[in-house]
Amino acid sequence: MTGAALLLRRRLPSAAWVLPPILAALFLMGLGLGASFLPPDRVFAALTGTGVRSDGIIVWNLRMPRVLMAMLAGGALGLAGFLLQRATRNPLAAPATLGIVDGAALGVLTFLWAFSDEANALTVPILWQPAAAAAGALIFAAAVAWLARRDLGGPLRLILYGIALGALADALVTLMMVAGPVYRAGQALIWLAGSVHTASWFEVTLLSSVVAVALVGAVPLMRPLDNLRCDDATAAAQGVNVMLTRGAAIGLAVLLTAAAVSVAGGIGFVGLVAPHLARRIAPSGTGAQALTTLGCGAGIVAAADILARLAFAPLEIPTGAVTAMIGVPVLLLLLLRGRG
Amino acid sequence: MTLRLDAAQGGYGGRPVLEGIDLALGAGEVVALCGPNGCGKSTALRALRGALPLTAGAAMLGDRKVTEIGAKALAREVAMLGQTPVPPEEIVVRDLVALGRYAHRRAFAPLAAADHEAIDRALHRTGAWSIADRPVADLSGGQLQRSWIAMTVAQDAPHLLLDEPTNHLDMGHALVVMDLIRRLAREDGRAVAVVLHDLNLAARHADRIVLMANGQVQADGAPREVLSEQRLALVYDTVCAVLDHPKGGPLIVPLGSQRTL
Amino acid sequence: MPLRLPSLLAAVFGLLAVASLHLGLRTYPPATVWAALTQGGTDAEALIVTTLRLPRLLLATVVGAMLALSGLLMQAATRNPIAEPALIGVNGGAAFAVVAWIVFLGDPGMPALMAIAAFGALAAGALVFGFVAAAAPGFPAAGLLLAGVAVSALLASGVQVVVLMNEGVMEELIFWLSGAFEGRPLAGLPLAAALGLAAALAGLALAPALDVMAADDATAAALGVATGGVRAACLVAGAALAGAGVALAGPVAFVGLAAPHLARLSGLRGHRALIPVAVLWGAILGVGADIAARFVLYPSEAPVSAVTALIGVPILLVLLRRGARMPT
Repeated sequence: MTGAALLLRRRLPSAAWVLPPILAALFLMGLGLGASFLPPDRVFAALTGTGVRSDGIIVWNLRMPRVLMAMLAGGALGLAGFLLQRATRNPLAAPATLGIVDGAALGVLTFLWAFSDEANALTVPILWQPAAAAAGALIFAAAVAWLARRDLGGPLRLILYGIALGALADALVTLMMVAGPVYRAGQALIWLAGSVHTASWFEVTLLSSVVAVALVGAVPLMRPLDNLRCDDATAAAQGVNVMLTRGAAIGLAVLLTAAAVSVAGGIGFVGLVAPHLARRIAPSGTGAQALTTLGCGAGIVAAADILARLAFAPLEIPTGAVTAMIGVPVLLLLLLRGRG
Repeated sequence: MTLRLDAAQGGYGGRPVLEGIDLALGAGEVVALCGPNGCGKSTALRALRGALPLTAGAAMLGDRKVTEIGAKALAREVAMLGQTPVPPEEIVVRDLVALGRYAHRRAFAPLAAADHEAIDRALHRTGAWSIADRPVADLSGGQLQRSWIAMTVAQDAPHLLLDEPTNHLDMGHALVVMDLIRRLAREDGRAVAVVLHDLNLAARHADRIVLMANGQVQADGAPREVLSEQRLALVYDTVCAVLDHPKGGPLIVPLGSQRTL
Repeated sequence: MPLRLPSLLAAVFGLLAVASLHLGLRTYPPATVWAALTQGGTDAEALIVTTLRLPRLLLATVVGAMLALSGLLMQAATRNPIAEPALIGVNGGAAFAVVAWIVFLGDPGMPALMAIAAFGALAAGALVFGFVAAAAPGFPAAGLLLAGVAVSALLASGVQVVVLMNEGVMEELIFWLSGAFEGRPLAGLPLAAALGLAAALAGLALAPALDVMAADDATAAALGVATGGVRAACLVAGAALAGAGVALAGPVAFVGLAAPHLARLSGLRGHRALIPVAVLWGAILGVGADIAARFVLYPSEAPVSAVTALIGVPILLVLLRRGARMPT
């Protein structure tokens, strides 16, 4: 190992500092760009309440919840992917590849299907939808974990179980869409594709409280997850309660995924790509990487949302389609360079 | 406190491997677990660590069952290195060794001065100081094994369990590792149990050899007593000559197999 | 291998084929079906049997067999048990090519559409395989799976966006995108059948080479197999088969995975035996899924791909549980 290669491996230790300014810039762009363009000075004026009243409505009521929700959903999915990758020691683990996203979608569709009446109206409050997403996500995560219980460390088989069960959930979702009557079936289709344009302050509050709870819950997991980078037996010999750590990390990931999916739909590839991106730019500590992953996820979805508004304007395309278009090339590039 | 197995029975998925084992580790001594493939050496080591569910008997640390001790508390008492530990993908030796401090660290606090001391000491002790900043992926087999042992040393546990630590090492590196293990027992007063295939390494470096076969202890004592020609023929199905090592102790020379292939 | 297994499978297929003519929204007695087939006629029953059920039986048979063969060839070429058109992006490439062509340039008719789909499948396959070959030589299952899932997702997003741009064709395309044997144009069917037959014969001719390639490349080369050529031929044939299948019936998943593994599960070794049996299994799965699609959401018609997933996923799970020929 030569000194130069060593330097390459050590990477730039502090590249993560670029994240806060990027996020701030994306936040302001998200407030300014869209069907009606607001230059930065008008955005600032609206933010401070000194601008025109219509600008204030656009910024505060329409775009701010949307930008915040994109960032929160992205951060939640990124963090979920990070926890899953660490818990399973599997670089391919992510909410989507482990079938958790499809499970949450199935939960929501089942909910809409079971509680729609003849007139296509919901018979119970929409508030229960996140709970249904969480139930679906939990069932599918538990099923994947149970199927793979003997070789949770075997990277391929775990993902195969996830993809297989995800395909099953996906098939059931398709059948339910056809079977109907689903409450606002057209909206369900858009929601499935992943979308943040209907964000409300209520959803932002819901999602941010879940993310906050998950962050607090993740703090005591950071150190055992660090040790869990070794194999199970070695980590256990170091004093780590392996099953408890793994179960808690997967549980938090399920919670984050369910919350993000129930409000923002199937936004894919963030959970897979954000942790890999963070690994490239963050300092090596587990906690620092978790935070960097949060930021990367937030940035990816916020950028995707801006692109979704502008790329085919006036047509808006699903945010999930854009995250896939951003995430996939990034992922392939990372794989090509890192052989990870 | 003594770490020991009392009439331990257990195995994997209903298949019994240990059929009533008694084994005790004394402070300051190196105990080598030897025996033919599949005799239960590694399983006995896992049982000592509480990593194997026992169907009868118990693994005891002093007067407590190891299974009743919390994960961190047990890790402060017993360190163990498996046969094929898997290192994290991107990590330097020093950070790997730091993982051994897990059970000693306070919640939310960064590595304390005591942790840094223990890490530095372990690196020096095991001769891994010069490679402390190298990525684990670039190490040779001998260097990697040294790093792993440094990690278990940093754990600062009075009991040390090592499963075939000389596996895949050449003659020279194997000797270095065994000398290190011996010093960890002698100088620090640790109780060390080490699974070994090479009887001559065991005879040279262990204070005591526990010879196992079919999940039972066949003999337990000083190398000279345990490694008799008759017993080796019985346990290994192999005719051996037991000679005198030029530096003392027995020297085993296999002469021929009693098995026909 | 005695002929017992193929004859048994052929008998099962025959039963399913007969059943698929009888069963549906309305179930007819054998006499009615027989009369419709032999004498034709213009009454509703005869028309349903001859112009609806018979065509979709043929389509399900051919597409099922093509997908099975596609999966088997790709699995052999990559030495990777999970290579299957839907998982490695090939179906996605075909679907994207078809959707983009129809939305931007209009519907060119079935034979042309098959060529377009095959081209899309080849391009996506080349992207995935080329990427894996560059990033991780030896087609490791995890790398192939990841690249395939990633490229599939990318193409699916592309499909979503393109479909959104033309609401006129949206409804029909969305139906086709979840797989349909019902009401599809049959113009390309003879061509597809010929393609499938040619690929099967080529596969049989290459069978000894495919068997040897189960070992590593160096060994296969030392035994005299032109590994590069055989692999390229298998991948091209596999992608073309999958592409033509997608043009005909939409992206149908899991048949290409399940059929070859069902063939292996019966203890068969060697591609000379595997190819015909996997093709039979593909036809059985295709026709079986087509029948099931009529009843899962009775009286509505269910998307075929959802049904094949319902059938294929449990099979995949059983395979994984048994660890049959699956790397860990």
